[in-house]
Amino acid sequence: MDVHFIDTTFRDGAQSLWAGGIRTGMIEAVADHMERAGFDAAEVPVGGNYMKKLVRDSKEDPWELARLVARKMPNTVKSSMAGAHVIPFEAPPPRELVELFHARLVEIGALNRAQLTSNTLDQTKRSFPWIIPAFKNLGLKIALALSYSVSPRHTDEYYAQKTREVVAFKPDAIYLKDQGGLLTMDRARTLLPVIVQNANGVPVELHSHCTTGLADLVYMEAIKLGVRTLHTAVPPLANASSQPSVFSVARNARHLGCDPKIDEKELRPVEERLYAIAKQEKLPVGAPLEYDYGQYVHQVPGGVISNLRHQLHEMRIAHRVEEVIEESIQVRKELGYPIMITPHSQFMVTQSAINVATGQRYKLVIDELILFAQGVYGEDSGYTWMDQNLKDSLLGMPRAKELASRKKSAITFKELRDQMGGPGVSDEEFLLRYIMKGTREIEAMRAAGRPRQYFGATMPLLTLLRELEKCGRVRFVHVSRGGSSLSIGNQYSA
Amino acid sequence: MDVRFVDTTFRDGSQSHWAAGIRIGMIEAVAQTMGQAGFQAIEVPLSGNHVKKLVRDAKESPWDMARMVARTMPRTVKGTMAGAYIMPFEAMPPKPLIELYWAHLVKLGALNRVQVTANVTDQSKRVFPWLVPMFRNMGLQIALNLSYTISPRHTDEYYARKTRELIDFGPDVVYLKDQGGLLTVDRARTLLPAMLQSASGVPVELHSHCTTGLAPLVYLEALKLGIRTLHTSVPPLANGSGQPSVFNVAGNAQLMGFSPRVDLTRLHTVAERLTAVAKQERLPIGVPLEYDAAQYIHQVPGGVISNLRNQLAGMRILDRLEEVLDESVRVRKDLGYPIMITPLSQFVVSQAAINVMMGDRYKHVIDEVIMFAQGVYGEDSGYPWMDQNLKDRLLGLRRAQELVALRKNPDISLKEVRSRLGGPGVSDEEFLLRYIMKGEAEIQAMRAAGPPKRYFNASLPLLTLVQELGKHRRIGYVKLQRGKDSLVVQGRSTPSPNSRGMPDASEKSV
Repeated sequence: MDVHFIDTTFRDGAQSLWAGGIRTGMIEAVADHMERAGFDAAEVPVGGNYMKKLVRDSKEDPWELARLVARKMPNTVKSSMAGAHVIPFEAPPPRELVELFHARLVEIGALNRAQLTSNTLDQTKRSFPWIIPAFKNLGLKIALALSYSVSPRHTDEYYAQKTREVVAFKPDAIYLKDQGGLLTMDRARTLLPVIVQNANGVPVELHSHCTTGLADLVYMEAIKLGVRTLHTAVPPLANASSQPSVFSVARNARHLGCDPKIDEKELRPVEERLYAIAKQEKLPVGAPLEYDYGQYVHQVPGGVISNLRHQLHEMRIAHRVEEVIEESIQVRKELGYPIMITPHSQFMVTQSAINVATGQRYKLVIDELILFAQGVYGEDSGYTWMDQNLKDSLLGMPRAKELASRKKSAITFKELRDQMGGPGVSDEEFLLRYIMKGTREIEAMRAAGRPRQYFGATMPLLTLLRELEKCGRVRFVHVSRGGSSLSIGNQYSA
Repeated sequence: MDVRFVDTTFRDGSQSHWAAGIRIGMIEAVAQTMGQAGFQAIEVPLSGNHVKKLVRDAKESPWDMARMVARTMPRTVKGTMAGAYIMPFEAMPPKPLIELYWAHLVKLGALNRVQVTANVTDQSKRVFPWLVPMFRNMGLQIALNLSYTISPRHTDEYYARKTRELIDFGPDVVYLKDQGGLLTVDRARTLLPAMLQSASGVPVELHSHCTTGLAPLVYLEALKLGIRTLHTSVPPLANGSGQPSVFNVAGNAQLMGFSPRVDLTRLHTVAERLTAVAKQERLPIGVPLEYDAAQYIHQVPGGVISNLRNQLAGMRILDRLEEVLDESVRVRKDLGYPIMITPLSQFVVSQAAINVMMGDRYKHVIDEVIMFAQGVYGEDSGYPWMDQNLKDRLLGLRRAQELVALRKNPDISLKEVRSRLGGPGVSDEEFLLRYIMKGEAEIQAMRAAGPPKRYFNASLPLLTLVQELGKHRRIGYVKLQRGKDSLVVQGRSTPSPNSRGMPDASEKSV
């Protein structure tokens, strides 16, 4: 039985362990091998949020990154999280802009598959009817994700129904996205067969995280239950809060009697180089974590907790973090069990912090919670299951009317283009200015010069010259084979 | 609901991570705190194999170790692996010698509980009838364990029956010993209730290893199934192929609504100190491992694999390791599924290596496999379930008769052993040590090495300070003041405070 792999190293791996801080040169150093490893698809960090991070922190041009992956991995299906947005969770831009952005990536050859989350903000009702046809017209493969959550309303029956809904959009694949790494063997045994059955022949993939330490094991169970494609990463960007290691999953799958369609030999140099890069740049290295039952109690994502800790510290109540987490369990219940994923998890935790800090629940309420009660985030958010008293009290606030009466003056594509320099500006430059909200950070990026390079087997001579520069005591290198020989003198030697 | 903990840090933790290389000073640096942490029992490294290792590698006296644990943890139940032996897997010594060894540890106050394996080589039939009463007479708590394995004959019914057999010996505790870390949540759900039911009220403990990464999860399932005592370690000697971390298990148990009876605050100090010791001595630090399905296929313990790797490398056939592991699966089946634990796992793997190397199965057979067929290791070993053709062939070998004849050697008496090792002028401690070390050479080397190496310790703050000062020549002195009391500690190798015009001579100098 074949088992297939989607690689997440460059996207979710880097996001989970390096805060999205993977640079163009790091990908360049390993892309050749990744191309040959036989992945069904490989995630590449070309969404708006990754581009923003790359410009801002690494001062590198995301279009160069896009061209690099297109050039280095021409036959790989390159994939990224996508949707009716350029930057997730910002106010939705005009459709033309969303289409232009993704069309540009497709034209460059950097994107072949779009992964869309389906069940957190009513995407199936609100944006899928136009965005999926638009993506299909671009020739993109469509992978629709159902976000996994543990709550009284997120039953197997719920996922069965959601699977039927997303299959109606005729995707190329659907997948269960377990962003919290919460899926257990027991739940997998009831949930995955239900999804596989309702997928009606559409391939079902599994995407989990190692946060509770269970994902490796759950992946093996998933294979037994009929899932044939798994999302994994190459160490050091596997494990911890990232995906399971491709090596570990492939080896264990082989012991189950399966045939992993992956060439691990190609991936060993990738692993070695990424480890060397992590060491050089002092970036964290993923390692397996101990089983953590706490994740099931509060379900607050790790990133949100570290952010919360910082906020509470600012408010000088850092010692009350446990109380806030306890409160967030209550708040989540009262809101009708939103999925603990961005942006819902932030709303809940922020409101919980305020409830604890003021000593009175919902005395002070953030705008997002009132919007939540008004149904702005859709049925998926849980607002129809909200505590009725809380809902009534939020909807009765004067601020609720102000928020409801705010005119949504949707900006047009033309207005936006004019704002960002008008017709003389290329599509790429315009999109980048839109992402960076102006030209300032783009100029800083250009001023920083070329992307930092990392050793790669494709540049042996350059690498040798650089290393020679570091070793003044080496005077020359002489290589000979048969009649051919090569001498390199070291100008740095004394 | 209370959850209790048996700590394995000093014994199985050290054995799993540091090749049993824990020294007296390392334990002394944390023992008092460990003793106050509320453990049900604490394992101490006092069986013969640990003793030998301590003398040979650390050049420290095991009797010093025994006195130290007695002194620093007086009210703690101190346990160790024990049996009808001093050195496990050596030929059984005279019973009075076995008795002398364990009784002496009890007399020193170093041992209060023995943990005895029951189902690997017919221990429950062959030695329990005299051994268990002997231990009981010494006032020891008795914890009898069943080794866990996966095979067609090691069913839940097997473990239920074995549990009932053990209960007849009136133990204080029985426990499941999962030396390979193979127990899954699914198997725990059928196996543990079967054992609990058969234990008729005798407490059942669980001892597993993190080798496959499952143990922390299985421990929580065990709690749900009614197990109330778990074997854990303090990091850095937890995880890896050792026991789960006490912090992890207690933390998760608490979140599930249980009350862990252990003082984690105290244990944080222990973890810090042991981590510092590990760094100082460049000893490995236990970390969680990825899930490893291979463990279920061959069940060969990690220690045996690393040993096998060395042997195959010596024979220049390291590239055939996978073949040998595959062959060991077949050999285990041929032999009737022995539990993959010392010494049986070594027999299986050695024979498998020979089969692969010769290219002809069982053409050359090791003595131990012939003895296995003869039933030397008991029904537990699996020999009644052995492949009949193989058994007939082995029993028909000429070597089989020679081995029977060799076993006819008359038992040696305690008096003979004693006179061989120095006679009546030698103290019990010295005699036992000479017995374990097979002579005096290594004992003399140990004595020549001087007192045990010390590690920093909260009970010796001044000594630690003075030692640290010795390392920093630029610090002239340290002055502590609280109210009117003050204390000056002066570095001997640096100029005196007075010569620098600092504190006046009326203050007490140390």
